[in-house]
This record gives sequence, structure tokens and C-alpha cells, in this order.
Amino acid sequence: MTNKMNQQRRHFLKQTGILLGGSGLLATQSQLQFINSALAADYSGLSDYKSLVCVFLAGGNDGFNMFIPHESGAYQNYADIRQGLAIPHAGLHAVNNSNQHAFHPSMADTAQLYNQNKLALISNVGALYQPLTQAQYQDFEDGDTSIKVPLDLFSHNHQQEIWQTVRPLQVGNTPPGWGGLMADLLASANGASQLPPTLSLSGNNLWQSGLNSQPFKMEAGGVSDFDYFADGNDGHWHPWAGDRKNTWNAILELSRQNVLKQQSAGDFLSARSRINAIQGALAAAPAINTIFPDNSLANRLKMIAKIISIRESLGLKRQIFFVRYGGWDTHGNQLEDHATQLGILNGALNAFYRATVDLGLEDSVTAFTASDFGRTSTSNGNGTDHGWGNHNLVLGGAVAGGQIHGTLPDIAPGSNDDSDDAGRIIPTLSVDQYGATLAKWMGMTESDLDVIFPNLNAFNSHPFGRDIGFMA
Amino acid sequence: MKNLLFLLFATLGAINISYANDVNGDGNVNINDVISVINMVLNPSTASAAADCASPEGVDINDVICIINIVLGNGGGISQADAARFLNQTTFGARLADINALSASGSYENWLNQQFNLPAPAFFVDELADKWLNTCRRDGDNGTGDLYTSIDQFVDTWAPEDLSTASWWNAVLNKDDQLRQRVAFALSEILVVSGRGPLSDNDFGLADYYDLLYTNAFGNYRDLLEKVTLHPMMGRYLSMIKNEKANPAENIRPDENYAREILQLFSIGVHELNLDGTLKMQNGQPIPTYDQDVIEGFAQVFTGWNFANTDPSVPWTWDLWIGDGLTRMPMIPWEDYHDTTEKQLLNTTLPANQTAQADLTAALDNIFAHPNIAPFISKQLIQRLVTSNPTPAYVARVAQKFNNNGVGVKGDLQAVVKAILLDDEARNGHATVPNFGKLREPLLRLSHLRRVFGTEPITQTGTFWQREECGQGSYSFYPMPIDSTLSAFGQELLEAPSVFNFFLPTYSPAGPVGNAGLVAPEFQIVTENTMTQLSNEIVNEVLSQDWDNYDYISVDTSHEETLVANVGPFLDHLNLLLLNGDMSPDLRTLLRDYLNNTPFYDNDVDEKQAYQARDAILLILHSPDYLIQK
Repeated sequence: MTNKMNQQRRHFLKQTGILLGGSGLLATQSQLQFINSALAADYSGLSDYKSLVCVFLAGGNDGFNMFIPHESGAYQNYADIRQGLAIPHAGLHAVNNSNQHAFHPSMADTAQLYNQNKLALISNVGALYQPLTQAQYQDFEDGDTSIKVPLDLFSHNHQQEIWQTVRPLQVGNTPPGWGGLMADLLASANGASQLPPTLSLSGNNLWQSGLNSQPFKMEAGGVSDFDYFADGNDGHWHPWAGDRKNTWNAILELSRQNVLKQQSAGDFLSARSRINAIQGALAAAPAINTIFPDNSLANRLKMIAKIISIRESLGLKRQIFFVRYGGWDTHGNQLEDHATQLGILNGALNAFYRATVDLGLEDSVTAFTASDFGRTSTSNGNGTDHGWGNHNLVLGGAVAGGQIHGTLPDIAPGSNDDSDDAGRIIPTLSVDQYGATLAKWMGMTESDLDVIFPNLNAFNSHPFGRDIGFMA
Repeated sequence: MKNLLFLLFATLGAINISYANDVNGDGNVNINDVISVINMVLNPSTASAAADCASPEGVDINDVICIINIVLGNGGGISQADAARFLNQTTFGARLADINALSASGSYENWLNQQFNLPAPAFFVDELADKWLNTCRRDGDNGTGDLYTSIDQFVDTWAPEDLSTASWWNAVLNKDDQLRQRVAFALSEILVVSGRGPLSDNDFGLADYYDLLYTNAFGNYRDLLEKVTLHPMMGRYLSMIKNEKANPAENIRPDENYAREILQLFSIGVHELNLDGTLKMQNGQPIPTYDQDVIEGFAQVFTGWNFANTDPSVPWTWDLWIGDGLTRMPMIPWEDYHDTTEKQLLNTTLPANQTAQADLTAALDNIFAHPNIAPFISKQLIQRLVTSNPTPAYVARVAQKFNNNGVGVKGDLQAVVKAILLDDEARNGHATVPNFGKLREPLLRLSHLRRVFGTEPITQTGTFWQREECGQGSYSFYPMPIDSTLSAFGQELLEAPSVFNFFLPTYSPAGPVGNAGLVAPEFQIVTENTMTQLSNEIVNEVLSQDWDNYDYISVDTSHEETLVANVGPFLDHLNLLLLNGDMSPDLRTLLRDYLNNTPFYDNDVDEKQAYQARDAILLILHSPDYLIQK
């Protein structure tokens, strides 16, 4: 172990110690385990480059209308269930010539990527603390406290929090997200870089919130600077600009009792150093020549591709990106709106994959979708309401693509997979398994996976196990 | 002349600084308190906040004079610092004249009553229509037809969003009914609708929704909840409009969108609360306030409502195209589409065969009777106006007022607002409660800056808007940026990314706040991007000082530039104006040294003083001591 590693570990323990000292509420088993495993983990030897991109479909994507049965009998069954919200058979994009399954008409490129084995479908993933049968869920509803089920099912913000942290949220105590915990551990792989492994194109988010690393947050257009407090630039050059900057710095570094003031000062100080670290490299970055559609999701994925292209000048071997794209809460006007949304997702993911090919990094970059929850298979007239289990997509050269991973549920209302009678489907794969499979590909050790994903152990003897197997 | 007037005001303010404090805590204010203050001046390490009677920072000779005045019966007013603190909680920015007036009046309650009694005609739609008419809008395409003469000719259509924003900015910067404006703004962050999503291009409807919050800001929350529920903008935003009873043959059940969010966000929240806003726990777990059956029951309640310009006696009008619906009239019931089965509500069931209105009334009464609503709404209003982490006792005191305004009425927002602002924690929490305060949200940072220093007076039709000559194809122009600030600053009026507002009331940023187990909602939109863009905007507004250029906003710091030569009083002035008198000695030292020791341009005194004053202002505006409003 290098001296640098020792320093980082001490820093890490110190931070965590402050956490525990500051709030007894946080002294949970998982955090304690995390400290222990931090002593054992070492990622400084990683020499290859890998990055993980989370595309969060905020609002709850109707995954069961994104990937659809195509074979005629199965399709008819689907159409009978979904009635007025069924997608017409004629426009579907069948996959693998097997005629069994198809993507939504808006997703031609997605179907092609699937056929080229670059994209996989992960079936019926959702928030679970343990494998859950319908009978167990009913017992839980009847008050059986031995069965663990995430709280506040069907609520947007709570289920986003569960997807991003796989931990119960306590008011006033932000749990770390699984992307952030990975970043805490993987920071050692990135050596002396000023930048964290995590970078968000959609602002603050729980997924990337670590115990001692927080994401750098920028926009599709890049990031601006505090123009007036730079040493000098075109807009505000004054001979005394350096004095001004130094005085501001001294003001920020004053010691203060109030934690809100501390938070504010810390935000400014960290923003200043991190903007500094990225702006030069970004300005020198060659243009991304891959053609992207022009919409806010594609624009942000394009910036991610650009950041990946300058990984070496940033000194980063592991990166974890986040982009949130809203508009999926299709309570009304679903047929039209969902088609638009899926079209945007299709074009943006396709362009992003082609950009990684153009960079020669398609085997080193994996993108995946996540969403609040699936939606009801039943209709509310012209839309759907909040569900539970959902289909998600994983994309990249390292993906075991062209396959369905997991089991396809019976989405009929009142079926053996329904939590009740409206087609809110009980997940058959957990977020912990989904995340752990991705995290393992990023290089995390099994013992660290248990720390990052506190419910993973409960799935050790699950049919798909700890590693769903969608990463080749 | 202007300077003389200012000096006069400042002096008057100083005389009126005489808020009585029982410094030694013996229950009386007398000569012993004077002695206590003198002792603190001689021995600063023993100084207490209670002695801070007059001068904004520390304890000094002014505090001695102040306490002597009180003992002699000459005083009894409110200190300038306390007046500033109060006005920054109750307005869009405490201006010096208002600080001095409140300080002289000596009564927070009188100020509140005066605000409560100001007439509150809806303003937003009218201002917007007025401006829109003044853009030479013409009938027909390409501006070739007759000039519009009445808002009825276009009032249910799109209007330029920037005109809409200009109407609001004009109101919050210039109107006298600041408290009502501030509470309406707070309500717009709780009862959220947004132009981002299905309501884009509904500027008149959104303005009308805001008028609803504004006219009901001091009304009853139960009434407000019903008006919000039936407003067509809410109807569309959360898809209650045209929601139909179940049709099992087609696997159709009522839409749950509004049912879920009215419970989760507009009234009671997902977990049972004590009166003080803390969670009730059972076996170490929060207790859900409702289950899916209740959501489905409320979803059944909210069926059978449609635009006011549909007609239940003309069946096809149920399907009126959504773009043709009236956006400013309450929705009307259609009994044929209303679910008349029995419905599960909170701890009760609604009988079958009731009308849509009867079900709605009963369901809203059911929500309103839930014990969560008082702490749930009270705490959020405290967070919007005063502090992110009110003590449970403070929440309980306000929630009690929510439950009973003193004469047996529940939900009286005027009583709630008064309880929030006159509470000892609101008035003295900055000195007595650790980690008191809240991060100024972006729109309040900008409004504070623009009010405190004043912006350019565009007079033709009000601030932030001016029309060109009314020739063919002419258009309005306006200073930027007042519009499209969501991506740059993280916030824009009525443009939240979702019904979950710009930030959640429970957001706890990782770092010092999270480690302390506290929340700080406004930090949810603090990013490298919003921090820098807001900084650059504020710098431009302070530096440009160019009133002839309508393309951007600039504030007027000319008065401060006349004060800067005398560094001590200059910093006192900024301390009051920007920091509610809370400038730390360390910060003061850094600013003083910067002003005294920095090589500003010194061949031109005016230019030097301009940069000194503006740099000092900007450094304070970029300090945590300003950003966290205490």
C-alpha cells in the first residue's frame, strides 16, 4: 500500500468518523461494515479505464410498453390486458428474428443494438429488500413484520430514493447512494485527480452522493466559472483581481458555527477548485464528431462522451455519470407522450453508443436505465398510474446483449405476479442485484458489494444470484 | 440633497434603536442592566446577545446608550437589525426606508396588521393582459389585422413567458403588499403547478392560478385546497380533468395522480406526524398515513370534472380538445362520469350515490380533519419564511394556531402567518437556536438585491417592461434575465421541474448539514453551474450601473459609493442592509483590510470609490453569512 493510499484511508475514516460523531442516527450496521471493508479494499492498482452511465427516467417509465410480446398468441394476451393503451402490432420492432419479442415502434435503433448483442433487457427489476412472493407480500400487507418490503411504494420521490440508495431514508439523514459509495472506494483508482469519479449532468442526486465524495455537477454546455473572482479575465480584469479573489477565499475559510454556513462555504470552495480542474481540459478537448440528436438528453450524453474523451488529461480511470430525463409520468395522453419519450431515449442511447465506438471505448463504457417504478398494466382512461417492477436497458460492448435477463412477469391484473389487482407487478429481480452486477463489472470486490448493496445477501440463493450475468 | 436625506434617515434610525432587553435576566429592565452592558463593553468575552441593543455588531458604547434610553423610557422601538431581520422574512428584500419605518413604529404586529388589511385584488392576469395588449397585438396573422382592444380577444391563449415574468417581478419589487406576495410565493412552492410539462403555453392560466394563491394567501387553507383542486391548471397538471369512473371491461380505473399528490404533497404527507412535526414511530418505523386502497378511494372521488366551457347536457363536449378549455374558470362536474360507488377515505368510507361536488366536499373535509395537516403545512411555511430547521416546539406552536386560530377556526392562514412571524424563535432564533436560518433561494437573492439597491426606473408600463412604438410587427422588449432562469439559476417562477418543486422540504445535503442530521431544502439546487451563473448575474447587476440599457438589469449603488470613504460607517451600513446586523468581527476585518489595502484605481476618486463600494457589496453577497439568512 502506498503512502497516498494510507492518507486517503485516514481521510476516509476521519470523514466517516465525523459522520458517526455528528449523528448517532447514522451508526447503522451497514455504515459500520463499510468502514471495516474500507480498510480491506484497494483499487489503486486498477489500470484499465471503465465508466458507468446512469440514465434515470424520472417519473416512472412504462417498461411493459417498451418491450412487448411479438408472437401472435402472446401479443393478443398483451393487447387484451392493455386494451386502449396496447401498442399496435404493426409498428413493433421484432428482435433476434425469433419473432418472440419486440421493442416499441419508437425504438428501431434500440432493437438493432439488441440484435447486435450490444444491448440487453433486464426484466422486472424493482425495489426489494428480499425475494418476495405474492403470498409473502400479502402477509406483509397483513402486518407480518418478518417480511421486509421498502416503504412508500408507488410514491415518486421515495421510490427514486430507494432505487438510488437501496437504503431506507430517514428524514434529515441522507443515505449514501450506491454510485456514491462506489465512487468513495474507487477514488483510489483515480490517483491524485482533483475531480471525483462522479459527474452529474442533472444536478444533485442521491445516487452519486457518497460518504466522502460528491459529484461534480455541470450542464450539457459545460460549466461556467466565478468570472469576477478569477485572477483576471476579459470581462472583469482589474489589477487587484488577485486581491479580490484572495479576500473572497479568506471569507469562505473563516470558521463558522452554523452548519448551513459551513455547507455554503464548502460548496463554494469545492466548486472553485473543481471547476479549475476541469475547464482547461475541457477547452482543449477535440469535438465529438458523432452525430447526436438535438434534445436535452442527447446533449447531455454528448457532454458525457466528451468528458470520457478527456479521461486521460483528467487523470481518471473510473468514472460514474448521472443524467436524469423526466416526462415519464404518463398519467394522461400516454400513447402519444410515451412514444415521444421512447423516441428521444432511443436516439440518445444510440448516438451515445456510437460515440463510444468512435472513441474506441465501447467495451469500457456501460450505460443503463433506471426509473422510479414501472406502471400499472391497467389504464386510467388514457394513461397509467404508479407501479413497481419494471424493464430496464443495459447498453455497451461489455454487455451480454441480445438477451432477456430475468423472468418476464405475467402483467395481467390479478395474476400471480400482481401485488393486487391493478397490474402493479411485484419485481422478480432487485435493484441490489442489478446494481451489484454493474458494480462488479466496474471492479468492486464481493465484500465491498455487500457493503454498497445492503440487501444483496438476501439474494445469494436467488435463481439469478448476486450477479444477474448481463455483463459479459 | 439625497445624501442629506439619507443621513437624516440613518440618524432617525439610530435614535430609534431601543428595543428593550432584560440583559441580566432578572425580569426587570433597569439600571442594573445598564451596568451589565457597561461591564460587557469593558470585558467583551462576557458579552451576550441580549445586550446587543443598538449597534449591529458586538457590544459597544451604542448599546450602552440604547439601554440607558430604554431605562429612561425614551425608547421601546425595534432595533434596525431586528427590523431588517423581520422584513427579510416578510418581504422580497428589506429596504432601508422600510427598516427605519418599522424600527420607528416599534411594533411588528402593527406592521403585520397593516399588511393583512391591504386590499388584494388579483393582479397577475391583469398586468399580463395589459402588457400583452400593449405589444400592439393584432387580429389575424402576421400582425396585419386590427389592434386588439380587449383581453377577452386572446386571454385564454399563450402569452410571451417573459411578459408574464415581468408582471410578477414588477409586483414583488414594487408593490406594497409584500407579505401577501411573499406568502403567495411560498404557497406556489407547496401547491405546485408548473409551466414545464403539460401547461407550457398557458401563461394566462398560470397567472390566474398564482392570483388564486395570492388572493387566498391570508384566507382559509380548506377553501384554498378546494379552489386549487378545481382550478383547471391543477386539473391539467395532475390529470384530474376528464378523469372518469372505472370501466372494468376495458381494464380502466380512475386516474390516481391527483389523489396521490394532494395527500402526499398538499396536505398530510406519507407518514403520521406529531403536532410538532416529528415522525410518529411504531417498531422503529414511520407509520404510513394511507395505503393504496385510500389512494384508489380518492381517485374515485376526483372523477367527473371538466372545463367550465363544456356542457353536461351536450355529451360530445366532454371530449372538448384540451387546448380549447377555459384556463381561468373552475372546473364543473359531470355526474355521468363521476364514480358513485362507495369510497375508502382516511379512516372512513364515503357512501355511494353522491354527486361529484358532495364527494369532493366530503373528501376535502376528510383530508382537512387529519391531524397531520397542521404540522405538515405549518412546518413548510416556516421553512419558506424563516428557517430550515425549526425546533419541534416552534412547529407545535404554529400548528396549534393552524388547528385553532383562537376563535375555534382551523386553517386560518392569517393566524398561521402571524404565529410564524411573531414567534420568539422567528424573532430571536438567530441568537438562541443553533444552526438557525435558511439558504436564500435564487429568486429571493435576486429580489433582495434589486429591492435593497433599487433598479432602473422603467416607467412606461412598469418595471422590466417597455414597449416599442406601435408599428407593424413591433414587439416588446425587456431587460434580461428575468425569464428562462431555471437551468441557469435552478429556479424560475411557476416553472418547477415537477410537482416536487425545485427542492424537497426534507432535502439534506451531504456534508456539514447532513452530518448534523438537519435539512436545508434550498441546497438541492446548488450546483457548480447554478452557483457560478447566479454569481455572474449578480456581479453584472452590481457592476453595470447602466440604466439606459434595457437589455439587462442593473442596480443602483451610487449612494453606497458616497459612503465608502468612511470605512467604518460604510461597513455598518452594509451590515444592516445585507446581513441583518450580524457581521462577524472576522468578516469585518477582512472587508476593512480589503478596502484599505487594495490598489484600486486611485487616479480617479469616483472610480476608486465605485469599485470599493461594489467590491465590498459583492464580497458580502458571496459570503455564507449573506447566503444563509438568519
